[in-house]
Amino acid sequence: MDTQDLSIADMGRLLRAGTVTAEALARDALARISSRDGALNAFLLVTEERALADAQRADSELKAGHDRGPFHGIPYALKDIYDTAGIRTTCHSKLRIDNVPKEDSVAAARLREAGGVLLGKLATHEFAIGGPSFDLPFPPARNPWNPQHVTGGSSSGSGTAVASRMVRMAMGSDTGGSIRGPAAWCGTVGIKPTYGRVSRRGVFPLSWTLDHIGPLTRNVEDAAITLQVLAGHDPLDPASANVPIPTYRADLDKGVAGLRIGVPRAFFATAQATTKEVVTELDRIAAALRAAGAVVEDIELPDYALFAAAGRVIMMSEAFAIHEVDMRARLLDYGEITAGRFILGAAITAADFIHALRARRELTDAVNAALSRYDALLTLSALDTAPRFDQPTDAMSAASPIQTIPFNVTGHPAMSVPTGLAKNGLPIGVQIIGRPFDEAMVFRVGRSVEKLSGWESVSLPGG
Amino acid sequence: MADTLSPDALAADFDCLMARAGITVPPQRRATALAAYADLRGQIALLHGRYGPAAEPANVFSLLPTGAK
Repeated sequence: MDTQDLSIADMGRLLRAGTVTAEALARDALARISSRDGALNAFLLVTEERALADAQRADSELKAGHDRGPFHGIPYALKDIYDTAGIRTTCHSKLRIDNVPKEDSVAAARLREAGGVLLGKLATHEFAIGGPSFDLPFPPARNPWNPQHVTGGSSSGSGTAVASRMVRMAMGSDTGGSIRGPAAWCGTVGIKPTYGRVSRRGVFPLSWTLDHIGPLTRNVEDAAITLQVLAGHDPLDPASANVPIPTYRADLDKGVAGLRIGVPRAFFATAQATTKEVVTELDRIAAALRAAGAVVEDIELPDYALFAAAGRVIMMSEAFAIHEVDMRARLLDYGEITAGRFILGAAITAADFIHALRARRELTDAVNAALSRYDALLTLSALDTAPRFDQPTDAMSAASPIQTIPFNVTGHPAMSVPTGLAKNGLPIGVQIIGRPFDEAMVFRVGRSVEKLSGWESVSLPGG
Repeated sequence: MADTLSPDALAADFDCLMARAGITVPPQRRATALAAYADLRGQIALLHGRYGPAAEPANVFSLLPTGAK
């Protein structure tokens, strides 16, 4: 049986029916990694022994009637900024090349407790910001649709591993778009949950007040299943919210009839980097949602540039505080891109930072006001398809083609969903934003977009 | 800090800030770093002069009574 295109839910059904074993799923995934990853560099470390042990445990438990739920026996991988007990966790950096954590991150522990099968650790831009780079201890992950093109970052290996069908789910992190960017450019689903929904404890920080963690997956249902495992209050994470967790799959197929969806068109319509093709794709999706019964209207939000400015100032300030000592003592041990981004934090004044925080309040209020009138927002994830390695763009600059940072600044849940292929054969994704802690609505709209767009009939690379 | 600076003034400003932070930027990386700094300064300019005294930052907080959730 070819298992690489089975959804997480389908894998679960077959596991429970005894048609397939977790060990067989793990061995299939390990074989795919072995055959495909040499050209794509998604994995920094394949944990074969651990994977087989996890899988054998999952099989024994199911046989004994101990069912841990929908993630039981499901293979997955982690971005290499997630602490994993006894397993090297490098942040893709020379500075942490020998780091072996003693404890799992909360997310890794939750996935293990849910019966998941850990396949390995994935490439990232260094410290979740610096890349794609060729001056690091490991090569950059490559886009499976065309290896001459970047994946987007920083969850680069996660995007590659999912889009190349090595694994159905890979964990990423998102401080300015590091889940949604690679999801859009690699053609996967990627959700950044509400700030506080998932514990960040044990995931190496880039910027404490912008960091979110979440999954990249093949489809929306896989993302909903995974978030169900991850969501929950962690009293030891100061940002963690103690709020009820709905059943994320309950409303997945309710459709969009009667929903109101706002499109902040000026975000992308006025940006220099926007290509006509991606706007046409967004308009096609908006029309399909209208035809399915939703009200889809253009709305006004504050200028995108203000979101981007506030986000960058906050991110660079917090990141520099984290790396200050090493930036002084070991600057040349960082990759050039990483160092060039982090040192800017030293050039930000206290007043700059406070103004960014004042903007953050204004912008969060504005998005909340829009979401008091609309059930969800719809916009582009990126202004163009993935660029080539030899034509890099700067995701940190004012002209970044990735359009995701507004919802790191405001903390709203946001998900990128692939909708189609551009003429160059690379994926295009749209972004759906919901009210705080209303990931269920984001999944519901996302599921409709997935169905209406025709993405489900697109053949993935390696098929 | 948000005023437009000449290229020389911007470079001097950058060098001063790096020196204050104790960071030595290698000469071969300085041009790229300066370009990024200029881009950042343009973004920072958007944030200055926008708010009156009553506009409070997002990290202003409220305390809860002990034991409250």
